Amino acid sequence: MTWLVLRQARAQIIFMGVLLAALGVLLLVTGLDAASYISAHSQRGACPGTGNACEEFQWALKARYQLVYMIIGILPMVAHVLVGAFWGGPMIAREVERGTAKLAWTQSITLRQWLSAKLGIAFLIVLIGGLVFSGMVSWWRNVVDQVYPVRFAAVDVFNVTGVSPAVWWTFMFALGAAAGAVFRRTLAALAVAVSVGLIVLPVFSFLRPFYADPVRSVTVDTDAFPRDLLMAGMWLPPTGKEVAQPTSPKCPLSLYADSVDPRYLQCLKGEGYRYVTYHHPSSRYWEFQWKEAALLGAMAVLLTGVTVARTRRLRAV
Amino acid sequence: MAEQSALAVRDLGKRYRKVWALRDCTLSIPVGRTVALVGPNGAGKSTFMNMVVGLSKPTTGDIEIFGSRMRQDGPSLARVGFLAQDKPLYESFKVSEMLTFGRKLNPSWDQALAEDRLAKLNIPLDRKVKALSGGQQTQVALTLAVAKRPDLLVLDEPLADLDPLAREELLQNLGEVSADSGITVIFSSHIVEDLADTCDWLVVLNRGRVQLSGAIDDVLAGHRLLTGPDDHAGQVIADTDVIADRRRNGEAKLIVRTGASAVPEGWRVDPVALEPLVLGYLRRPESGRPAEQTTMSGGRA
Repeated sequence: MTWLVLRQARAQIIFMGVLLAALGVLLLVTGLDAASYISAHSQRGACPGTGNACEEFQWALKARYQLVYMIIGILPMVAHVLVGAFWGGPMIAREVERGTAKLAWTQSITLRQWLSAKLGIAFLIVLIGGLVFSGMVSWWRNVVDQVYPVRFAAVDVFNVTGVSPAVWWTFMFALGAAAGAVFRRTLAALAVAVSVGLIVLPVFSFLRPFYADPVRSVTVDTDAFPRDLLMAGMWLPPTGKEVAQPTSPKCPLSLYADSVDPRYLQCLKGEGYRYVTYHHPSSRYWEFQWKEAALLGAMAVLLTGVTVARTRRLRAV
Repeated sequence: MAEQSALAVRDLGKRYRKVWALRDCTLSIPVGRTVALVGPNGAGKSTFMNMVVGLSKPTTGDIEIFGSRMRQDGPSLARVGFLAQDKPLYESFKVSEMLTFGRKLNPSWDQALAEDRLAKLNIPLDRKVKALSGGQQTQVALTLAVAKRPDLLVLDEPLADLDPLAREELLQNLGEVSADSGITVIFSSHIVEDLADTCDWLVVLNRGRVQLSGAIDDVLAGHRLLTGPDDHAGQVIADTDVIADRRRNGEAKLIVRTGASAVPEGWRVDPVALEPLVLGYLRRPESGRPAEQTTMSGGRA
């Protein structure tokens, strides 16, 4: 069965391999270049930090590797959808559509052997592909992150590093396969994988902040926590009750340019106001990665259950 | 009863939602026969075959292949070779890869047999399946089913969509396959003329029921063509179960069962040909009863 599964998925495996290799070359070249660029401009002392020098250098770095940032930002979405639509989708649907299921099911193997080989091997390859992808991207991010750290929960960090790509690809594969088994049409499976995939991805970005209760921190520095996921900011007056907007008569907002005017913040600080944040520290990265993996993994298991049940029904008809 | 059955089905039925595609189907086919399964479109031929090869589960009844119950498991499936009606193959595979497919998925696969067969048919192994003609694709699909070395080979409309030459070739080929290996072959068709030379057993399926199942020689011997005056035909019809009734220019041609009644005076008795006999049955779905089918093979010549 292994031979058959690999032969049938040859196009997908080659496509994924070529894409990963091309991305690897791009990341390796730009990553090495970025490392030497960073050390050549010796801004390490200033970055990461809040000074103007660091900010300028961050912008320069971002401009220099705009293309790579863009690719990393878009790829998770594209890759998820491709895996679901062109690998998971046709897995059962095309066999039913073209009648080749009848060919496979009348060889000397059981449906269980056929299904477990087809699904198992594909899941394994998709998982390995996702891990290779995240490994490469993580390495690249590590190079530039010493200068330009990004919030850990942002889509172009969270979804392209850690176990996230592997888990997402597995989920999308399971989604495509289930859609194919339910609708028995490659095109319908493709449409479902694309549309559901494009809905689920932003839904999870929205859900992510709620994987845990945010940490409450009281500080005087409003620029802290650059890598954290900020949920809310409040002001704590000397009287002790948190408010969204300071009401200090000594520092009326109308006197300043806006609510982030440094002089305004300075005035509030002088009045004894402190800043309260509700946030997820970047140390929660792995906790969030595993929580999302558990959620998506459970959904993938459910969807695979649907695929198995539907395919068994097709055989019993 | 000493003769072992290649295929024995009892009370076999298949219901799709509320419609019965096949009902009360009981028949038994001896080992080594080449069986023509005949019936109009929608008679239940494919339904019957899908259940026999384990692609579909019966609603009622059971199926025995060489004395053991047909299941959807490895040992059962290994005994049965199947060619589905649309002759499915993996289009993007080379012919040689289709053979690898057969080899990897079947313990009793005969690679030499497959290669010889395709070589004889001049089908190149390095050609992609989708680059082959329809007839060649059918031959590759048939080769897969044959090289699996099954004891029972089931072919669903193998002759459909073939030009007359390819059809002739395939039929001859099928004859060779069953003669060489002694396997039991069942194939379905709705064209009766194709079958007489190749087959030695006939099953007529009509409106989801078995009308006739028996050795072709016995079936032919069990029927007679009576030719006589039109105006006396009524008496014959009243006496016996008439399979076919053709009237022309005051003359009646009736196909009846041998020995069912005395031949009236002045009527000519001839042996009957297979095609008009089968057509006669197909036109009268109510003819033929399960009780008679089992005795038909007993030889009532």
